[in-house]
Amino acid sequence: MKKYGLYILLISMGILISYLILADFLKTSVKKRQGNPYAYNIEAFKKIDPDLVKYAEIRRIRLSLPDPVGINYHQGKLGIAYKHAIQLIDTLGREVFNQETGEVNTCVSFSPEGKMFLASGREIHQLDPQGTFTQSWKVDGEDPIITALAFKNNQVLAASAGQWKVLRFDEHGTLLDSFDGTGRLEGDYGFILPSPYFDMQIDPDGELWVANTGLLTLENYAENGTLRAFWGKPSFDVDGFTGCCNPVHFAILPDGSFVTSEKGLIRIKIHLPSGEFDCLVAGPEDFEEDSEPPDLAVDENGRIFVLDITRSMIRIYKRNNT
Amino acid sequence: MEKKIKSKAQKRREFIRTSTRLSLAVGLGGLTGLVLPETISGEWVWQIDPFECTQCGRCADECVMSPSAVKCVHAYDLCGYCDLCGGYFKPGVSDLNTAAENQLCPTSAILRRFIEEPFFEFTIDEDLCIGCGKCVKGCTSFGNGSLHLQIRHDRCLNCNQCSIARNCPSNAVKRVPADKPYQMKGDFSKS
Ligand code: SF4
Ligand code: SF4
Ligand code: SF4
Repeated sequence: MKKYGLYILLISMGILISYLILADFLKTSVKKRQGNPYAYNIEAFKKIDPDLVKYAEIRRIRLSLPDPVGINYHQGKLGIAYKHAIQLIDTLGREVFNQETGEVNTCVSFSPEGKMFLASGREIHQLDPQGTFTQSWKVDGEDPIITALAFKNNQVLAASAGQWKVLRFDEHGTLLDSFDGTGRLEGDYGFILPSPYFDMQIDPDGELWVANTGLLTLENYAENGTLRAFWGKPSFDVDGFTGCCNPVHFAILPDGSFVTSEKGLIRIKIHLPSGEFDCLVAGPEDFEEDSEPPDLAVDENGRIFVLDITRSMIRIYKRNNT
Repeated sequence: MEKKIKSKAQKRREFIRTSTRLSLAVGLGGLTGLVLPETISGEWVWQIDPFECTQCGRCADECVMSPSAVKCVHAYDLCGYCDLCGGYFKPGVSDLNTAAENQLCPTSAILRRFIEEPFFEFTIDEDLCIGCGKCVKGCTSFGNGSLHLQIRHDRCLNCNQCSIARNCPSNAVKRVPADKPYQMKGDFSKS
């Protein structure tokens, strides 16, 4: 009888211990575990105030070649640089030409007369309207990565992200000089480029603007390479630039306003010529998770061509009520 | 004058690029050489692939060590030395200063040091870091992703079955050869 009671006690204890082990396992199993106690909710920053969006997407052009890297516009035509090709299309997506290239391309641009230029890392090429290469030149120096081309006074300006410099060439590719943005009043730092994004544009008044991404500013440079004006401020808010290096691309509208493209939290924004925030064109939720930051082009009517690199398409935006 | 300015700027840039590279080598390589022979018996050790890690927070709590053997490390070559560091500051801060309430890190393990206008250097106090990955998420989302998590082998017991590896939702913790115990960003790239 005594033995019988002992058996019952042992069995009861066994059941109790099994229950405790099972309950603990279920409570702490990976699936049941509470969420991340150290979570940093980035999603909250992706939400934007819809009242700030003053543009609508009016058309998409799916690209026919793989790996787009850059876009530019000139008189009804869009030049698209791909990693290993160059293409010219009209704004409805009809192809004028495409041409394979050996090198990895980095950007495409048009001179005011409509000459097409392509940069592929350390080389700059000029193409005729049929896509035939008419001249090419190498950029000397350590690690040039040409990420933008602009044209002023018959000169070709090349932004070299590898060298943290803007290089000036004559129209035949002879290097004239360069400047690195140093010599400003406070501090002697110049262009600071923590990542290989270094954009440059000429505004409607013929002024040169350069994106100094490490300082989160857009900067206007005089002919002699000295800083004349700048705007931009570090901020997580929509009126500033966030992260370590922004804006990674920009374009200038016919009225002198700036269209900017940011990496990290992808935002396409409009800033007035004074630099004051105007509105949003598109926000993070309009792009896929971990998208490459889009390159930009604008036409004479103020339409914005957003190169959605990750989705391999051009998305065309127009300001509401215009 | 222009030449002088340029050479000074050049020196500063060189300083930032090379001195930090060196500090990284001393910080990890040096430790590896000194500590590995004592702590690692086998030919394989556990390490985090920073390109696979999704900063789920489990590295802070799943390690058998307390605090975790996982620490935040910094690939200085990739860092922008930014004033507004997405890994250091809480979003929405109005003043970019080191006040505790401005810091994203729950243990204030990231030290912000002014180098020279406009550069700031960020270093990790490993005794304070619990490997939660919050700063990594901020740096990856807003910056260049230079902050990332690594298992520090001067603290890791090299358990037969790493408890973090068992629970990592991204399968980011893997065995790597003991003679190459770190998978630092900048040293190797996403395959
Ligand atoms: S458990 Fe895996 S995904 Fe989570 S923080 Fe650690 S390595 Fe990254
Ligand atoms: S935020 Fe987390 S991982 Fe980063 S330094 Fe602080 S404790 Fe370490
Ligand atoms: S092997 Fe052990 S000590 Fe090392 S990180 Fe994994 S659980 Fe922690």
